[in-house]
Amino acid sequence: MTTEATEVTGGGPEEARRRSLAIECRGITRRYAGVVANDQIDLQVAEGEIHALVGENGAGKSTLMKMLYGLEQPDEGEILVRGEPQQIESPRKAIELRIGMVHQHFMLVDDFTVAENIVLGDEPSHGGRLDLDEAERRVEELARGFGTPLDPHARVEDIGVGQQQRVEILKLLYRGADILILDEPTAVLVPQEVEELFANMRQLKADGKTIIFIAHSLDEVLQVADRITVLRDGKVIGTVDAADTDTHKVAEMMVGRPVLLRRVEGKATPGEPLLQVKDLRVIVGGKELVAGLDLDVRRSEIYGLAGVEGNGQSELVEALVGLRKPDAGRVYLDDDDLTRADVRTRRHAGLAYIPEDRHARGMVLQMLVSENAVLGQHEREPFTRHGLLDLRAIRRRAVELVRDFRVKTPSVGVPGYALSGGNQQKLVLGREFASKPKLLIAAHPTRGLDIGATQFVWQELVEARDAGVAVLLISANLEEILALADRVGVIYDGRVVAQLRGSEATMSELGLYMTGASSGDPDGAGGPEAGPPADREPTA
Amino acid sequence: MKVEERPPPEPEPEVEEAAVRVPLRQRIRGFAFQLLAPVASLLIAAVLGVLVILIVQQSWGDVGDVADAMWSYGLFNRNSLAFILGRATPLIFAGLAVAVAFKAGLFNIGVEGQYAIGALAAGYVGYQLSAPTVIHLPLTILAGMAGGLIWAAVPALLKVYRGAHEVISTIMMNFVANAVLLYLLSGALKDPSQRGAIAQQQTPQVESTAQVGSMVPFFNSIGFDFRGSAPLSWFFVLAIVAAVLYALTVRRTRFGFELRVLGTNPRAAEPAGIRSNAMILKAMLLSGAVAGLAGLQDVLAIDDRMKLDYIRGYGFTAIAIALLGRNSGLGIVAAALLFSFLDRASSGIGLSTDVPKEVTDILKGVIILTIVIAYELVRRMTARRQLREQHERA
Repeated sequence: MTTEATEVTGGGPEEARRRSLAIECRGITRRYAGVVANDQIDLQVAEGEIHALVGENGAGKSTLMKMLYGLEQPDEGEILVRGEPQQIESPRKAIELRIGMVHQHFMLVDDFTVAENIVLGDEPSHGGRLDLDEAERRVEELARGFGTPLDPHARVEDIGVGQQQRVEILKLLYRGADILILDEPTAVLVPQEVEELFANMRQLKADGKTIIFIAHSLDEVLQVADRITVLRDGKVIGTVDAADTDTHKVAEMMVGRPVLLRRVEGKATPGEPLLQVKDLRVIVGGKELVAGLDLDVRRSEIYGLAGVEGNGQSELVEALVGLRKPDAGRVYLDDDDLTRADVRTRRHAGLAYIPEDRHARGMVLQMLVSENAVLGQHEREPFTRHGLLDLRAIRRRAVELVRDFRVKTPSVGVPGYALSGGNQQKLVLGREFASKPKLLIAAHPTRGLDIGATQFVWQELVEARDAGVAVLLISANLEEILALADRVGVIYDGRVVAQLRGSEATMSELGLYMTGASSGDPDGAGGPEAGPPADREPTA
Repeated sequence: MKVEERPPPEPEPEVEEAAVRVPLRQRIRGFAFQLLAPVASLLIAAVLGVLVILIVQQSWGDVGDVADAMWSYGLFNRNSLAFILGRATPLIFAGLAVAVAFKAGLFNIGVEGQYAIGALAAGYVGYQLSAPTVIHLPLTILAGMAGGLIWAAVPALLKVYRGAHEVISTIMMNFVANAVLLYLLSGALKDPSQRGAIAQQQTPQVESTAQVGSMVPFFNSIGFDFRGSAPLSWFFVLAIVAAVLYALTVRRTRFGFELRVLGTNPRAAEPAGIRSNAMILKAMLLSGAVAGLAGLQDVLAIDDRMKLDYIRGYGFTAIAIALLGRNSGLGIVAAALLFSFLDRASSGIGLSTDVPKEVTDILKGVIILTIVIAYELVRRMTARRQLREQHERA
């Protein structure tokens, strides 16, 4: 007789309470190559609740979720599902137990329709033939009353990210899951989509489903979760009711010290314009996505470009970096016309670039951490001499980056994919900072990072600014823009529609410009606002 | 990639060692994993081979004969080693040519045509020019490389400037190469002494100043006893040098670094300032130039002339060799030796057993397929293992 069995047969209120638990983890421990990812985790998720799991990058959240979904096995401890101890040895078993998971990167077939994707793996068939009508009927039934209507005939590649996510969730419901695990569901969404996701989550809860989700934004967590479990260094720090707490308390639990994301003040004064963009136009598929955009970023200045995603930011950045040929307009760096220059030329001229999609464009995941640590600077001394790589110099740089930017990796000699997403990001950031740029273009540099790492990146951006770097910060996160920017531009429909001083901008004002509800006269931006504010003019 | 993993010879005091080194046990396990594929595949291939012979011949005796032929003729005959090394030589060049392109993410199916043109060019320079060896031989070899390079340049330029897929255009160039060979060897470049009903379509003999010597005397001087006619020339040494240079280029040069970035993640290459089109062009031209070396042993050391009937499918075998050798210099040499051994063994089987030639071809296919499958299985196992380790944190 094990202790647990005794407890259960002990009955009484204790048992009743356990019965209403959807998931219970007892003393779960998971080790990898000498690292304890999960250390004696106890977690209780009640049926029908929305339970948030928060923690810094590397706290062990994903590992825990993977064990619940059968992708990983615990080394110690046990998992109880609806009160019964279970060995979840595979995702198949998890699905049998009606546990489903939506991964951060969706697992959909792009050129299948919504309905095909949802039924994939469990297709209704008729005499061996796929019964698509039946599939579509069932999908429509499932989707009914679940957020905005979803067209079952639409191809997945044609619908937005938010809708794709809903397809993933519907896929789980189709398989009968009533415990849903969502891995950072908000990371890929724009604010409106987040709202919609939350509405869907509340509805699922009303239908009696249990939701466990991982999130970074504490504001979001507090909005939607019933209870919050905080992980740090693989241990559970505590579980709190969302109603009884606030962002500061949770943040403190996460990092183990009081944390406040606040405006980071530097002591630099902006100098003369370094990057100048004049009447830039980028046409993609007949649509003018960057439509005559003017912009300048000065030395020792953080210029924050705010805007709802999809208003031409990506195309603008690609044109500035040299990944895309603009259809009209000019780009000057330090008075050199770089409009037609390729990326290498621009990098030599002092450009550093933190791409939006770091896994895909910032790293080569199959190559080593050390090699990734110099990607883009690999051709410079001391990494290359006379065409030959200096592997020791490369390694040394990698070790420095890993140390200075607190990248968690077993070694710099492992492939990039051995790093977690947050750590990959830190490596890319560190690498670009280390190139000693004149101009740093940072696209969503803290997306997906936890509070501690975010603060760290902010600090680095400010230090770069103070050291004379011109920083163009593109972000959809207004908090970030307001915390860092010396000047703020709002991009809407491919144009900068408003320009404000960072110290004077407010969230509501920016929000109005961002939605296009209010259009600050773009020429007005060329007026007193756009010129260097007198109080910040460098004194000769 | 072992180089980077090796602990630095000097201690680096600023580094916490534990944080940067792969634990020894893990490395040993990784290495054992790498050995698993070849060992497992050879065992499985042996079992399947026995089955094939049993099914076709229905006799245990033939199994013994085949094994004996493979063993005694394939490996331990007086000339076996000379044949294996000699026949591996063109395969190494051709395999390297395919691998260079693979590294950049390109499929060069046109090695077959490229080395044919290279061999033709070398054959022409070999008989047409007269100069002392120190000038003539290098020029002839360069002509061979230039021939391959030019043949690869067409698909390379088409890809860079017109977006034509290199698989299609290199295959097409193979057909063109065949036609060009036929046309020139029966016409303009034909040996005038070849006349009448038994006329061979071949060039005149290359000058002795452009010929490359046999390695047999060298081997015999260190204790071997190869027959003088064994097809083993100093090109073998050049092939090994090429494989070493290839490995060093890929691992230790900026060019190799950019090649690998482009080949593994082209979307990351551009933001890193790598000029993709220039790299595609360079990789393809280099591939063609190396391919141009593949046919030279036959022209300059064995037949001493370019013959029409000389095309031997090195270019297609090379694709299998590059795949089997995982695009690594050492792997390609090993795979080329394996293919060469299989060739040798199959002639042994033909000579000394009742097993028809078709069966030996089936055996060859089975062995190669088994290796490919075993590698793929191990690759997946490794990937799964790495994926597990990847979720180390977060």
